[in-house]
Formats: sequence, structure tokens, C-alpha cells
Amino acid sequence: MPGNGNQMTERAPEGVRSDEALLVVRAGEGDEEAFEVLVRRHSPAMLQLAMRFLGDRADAEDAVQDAFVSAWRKLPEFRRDASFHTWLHRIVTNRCLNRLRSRRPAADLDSVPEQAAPEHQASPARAVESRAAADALAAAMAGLSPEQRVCWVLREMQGLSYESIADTVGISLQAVRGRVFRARRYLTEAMSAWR
Amino acid sequence: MAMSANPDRPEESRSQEIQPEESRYEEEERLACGRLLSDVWDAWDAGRTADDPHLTACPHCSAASAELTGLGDAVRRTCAEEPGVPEATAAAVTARVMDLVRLELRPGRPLPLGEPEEDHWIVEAAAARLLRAAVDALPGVRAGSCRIAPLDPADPTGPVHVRVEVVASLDRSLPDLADAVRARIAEVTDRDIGIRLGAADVLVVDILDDEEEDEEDEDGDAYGRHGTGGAA
Amino acid sequence: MAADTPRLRDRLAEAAAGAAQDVPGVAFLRPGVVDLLRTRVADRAPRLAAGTGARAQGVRVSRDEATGAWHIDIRLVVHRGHRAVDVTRAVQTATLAAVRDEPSVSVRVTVTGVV
Repeated sequence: MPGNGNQMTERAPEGVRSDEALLVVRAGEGDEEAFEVLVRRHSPAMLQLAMRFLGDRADAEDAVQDAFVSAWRKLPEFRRDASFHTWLHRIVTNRCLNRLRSRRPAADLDSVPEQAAPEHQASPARAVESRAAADALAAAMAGLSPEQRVCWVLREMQGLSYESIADTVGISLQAVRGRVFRARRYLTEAMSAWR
Repeated sequence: MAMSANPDRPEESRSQEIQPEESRYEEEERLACGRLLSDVWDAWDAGRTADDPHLTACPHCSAASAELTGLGDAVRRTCAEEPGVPEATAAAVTARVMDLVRLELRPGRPLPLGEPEEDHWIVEAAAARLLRAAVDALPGVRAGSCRIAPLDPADPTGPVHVRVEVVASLDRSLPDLADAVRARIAEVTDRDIGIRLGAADVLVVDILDDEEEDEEDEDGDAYGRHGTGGAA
Repeated sequence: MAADTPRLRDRLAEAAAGAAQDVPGVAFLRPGVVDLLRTRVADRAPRLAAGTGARAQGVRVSRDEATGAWHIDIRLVVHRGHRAVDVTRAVQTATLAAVRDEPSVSVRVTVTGVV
């Protein structure tokens, strides 16, 4: 699935949603075949999301796997009127956030933006190549705190509203705005060093 | 670039940084023109940059906006460059997930197969799967929730009570539909499974989308639940 | 006699499992699904029917110490298209035939899945 940066806001056709609701109910009552259909259907988008959060393929696969198994366990309590996609999105996001947090010391959570751009981004000779731009952005993203990275990815790559991000991550709207702002602040600086 | 090179950027006061209210993020970060960087970017974010003549006329504000535009370009290029998730990867993850899920099945309660004196059972999840498949085979009907339990909780080897929720198309009356579903359940419980049916409730909980038409015509349909009970 | 009981239990479990698996409509014995897993998670999975060997998974054999009667508990998954109760009855018949040397055996059969 190519990144279109807007997957979350796309609505499935009516037929798909209705079919999905049935599958979710069945899976919640212990029908693992129904759950398998859901996993197959949602795993590409969830893998891409996790990849954007984590920047590492193996890590992303592990996080998505954990998230789906957790979803299976929690499905009996899933509210029928909720969106399965949104719910899954939240589980994957929180799994990835925990993985990001365990990667780095806990002390520098929101203090990262003040650090300088990593040196290896200073390669202006490749400035015209879009591959290089993507690499530079990927490298710069690694400098964000876990919270900043998650909020920024949801905002800029997934196209979520601030309200949806607050709901997904479970923090206040103001905290989301602050994190996205600081992520942008850091990334523009890191990228300008590269440019 | 504009904001990082800004000579008039106020000193970063420590007291500001440890303020408990996160909403005051970077409030002290002003551009040379006096505008807050966060305000300029908020306007850009909301697509309102053009609404304020200052934002495009001011070299500091336009430079700050350009930074964000540049970042946005890099994001777009990154998304376009993303290799996407190979089908094989998604399939492998699905397989691993299902292997783990099969170690944590939720079979539900055992239901008596055959006669009361026989020690033969089928777990609820397995019986429900067979009933749902049988209901799905009816034209214009799909089964959702399907719960099966002893009709008399005090008699675990006695006949069972089936409660099934269906989504159905509107091409026949709800009582007819409920009768057809109940008859199907009576047939399958006996002929294909071997559990004794005491009663079956059929609830129509939603209207089935016509697969040929993509019209959003059922969204507003507050369709009443049509419950029918009774002996099979 | 007491020392022979575990060995006899294993033998009964193996006999019951072998008999049950050959009944038409039986897909596999229940914890045996672990052996069918496609990925390596199977290696890490706990053996549910510990002590009775891989062939006897899905079969649990116990003995009433007071009466000496054996009880065999069989869990299995049936193939779609087979009437569940007919399969469980055939499994019971085949199991009792396979352990007919024992004077007192009861059998419980549970369908845990459909494939």
C-alpha cells in the first residue's frame, strides 16, 4: 500500500463496514476464522503505521503482531458502536510508543528538540535527490522523543486531526499541539542543516 | 532557518520551561517581527496563512512558513518513496498472529450433543460457527452474534436456547425472514450438529447492504430490532 | 500394579488417540493443533497433554482409584460436512474397541472446533 498520508480519514465503503462489524462481533465471540479475516485485512495498514513510528521493519512486525494478539484478548469487551479500525490504530500506536520508550533512556523525553541535528545529515551534495531527502527525514525523525514522534507521524504522515491524535494517544489536545510543534521545530532545524 | 537564526529570539528562561501548563509550549519563541512562531505555524497548519497579509508580506513569517512547507515536501517525498508493505510480510504476520491466537482460543461453554445420558459435547464457539454459516447460506441474510446456552441453566444436558442476530436485506418481511432463519437453525442443529434445540430467538439488527449498489441508503435507517421467540 | 499405572495410562491414551484419529470426520485431536502450527511458535508452546507423548495429544486418561475404572477424555476438531454427534459417537465406539482389554472404561468426547 503506497503511502498516501491519509489512510485514517478515508471511510470504507458501506458494504465493507457492515461486513466488518459482523466479523468483529463473530471474532469477539471466539470465532478465530473471523478474526483471521480482520487481521489479513488490516495488517498492511498497521504494518505501515508501525514502520513510520519505529523506522525498523522487524520491530514494526513485532509490534503489530503483539497488537493483534492483544486485540484478540480484548475483543470480548470491544464496544460494538466503536470503529474497529480506530481501536486497532490505538493499540498499535501504544505498542509502538512503548517500544520507542524502551529504546532510549527515560530522562530525555521532551528535551530532545534542543539537541543539534545529527552530523551525518550534512550531505548537501545529495540535496536534489528525493531518496536523500527521505533518508535525511528518517534520520532526523530518530532524534524526536517517542511522544513527539508518535504525535507528529499521526499528524503529518497519517493525516489525523489533533483531536483524533489526542484520543488515540490518550493525552490532552494541548499536549498533542505542543508535541507536534516541538517535533516540527526540531525537524525543520535538522532538515535545514541537511539542506 | 528563519527562527533559528533569529537574533531577537528571547532568552529561553528556565522558569518558562518548567511551567506546569503544557499549553504554554514555546510561547516565548517569537520571530523578529514579534509574531509567535507557534501562531505562524498554526495558521499554516489550518491553511489560513493567506488570510493574514502580514504572514505573506513579512520576511520572517514567510520564511518560517517556508520551513514548514519544505518539511511537508520531505514528508510527501518520503511517503511516495515508501516501499509499501509486501504481501508476503503481511501474510507472515497474519500467520504468526493466528498461531498465537490458536493457543488462546475462547471456546465458550460445552453444549450437550446427542442424548442427555451421552457424555458428548460441542463447545459453543464451534456450534455457533456452524449455525452462522448455515444462516449465511440463506439468501439476503448474514449472521452476527450467535449465542447458545442451555435453555434451563440448571440442566446443562438439556435442550439449548439459540439467540442469533442477523443483518438482512429488505426483500421479505421481517416475520417471514425470522421464521426462515429459525427453521434453518432447527434444521442445522439437528441434522448437521446433533444438539437438541429448545428455543431460537432471531433478532434483525441491521439492514444488509446490497452488494451491487454502493448507495449509502441504510445509514440513517434506525431499524427496530425484530425479536421473535418461541419453541422451534 | 501401582507402578504399571502410568505406563498403562499412556498405552490407553495412545490407543484412544490412534482410534479417534482414524474416524471419518475427525480433523485432528485438539491440542494437536499446536503441532500443525505454521511457524515456530509451536516450539515454544507448552505441551498441553504432558506425559502422554505427541500422538496422544487431545486425549486425557484418568483412573478412579476407588473403583479402578478408567476415564478417557477426548477433544477433537471435526471437518465441516460431518454431523458432529455422529462423529463423537463413532469416536467413542472406536475408542472403546481399541481399549477393550480393560474391563471398565468410560469415554467423554468434546468437539472443540470445526474446520
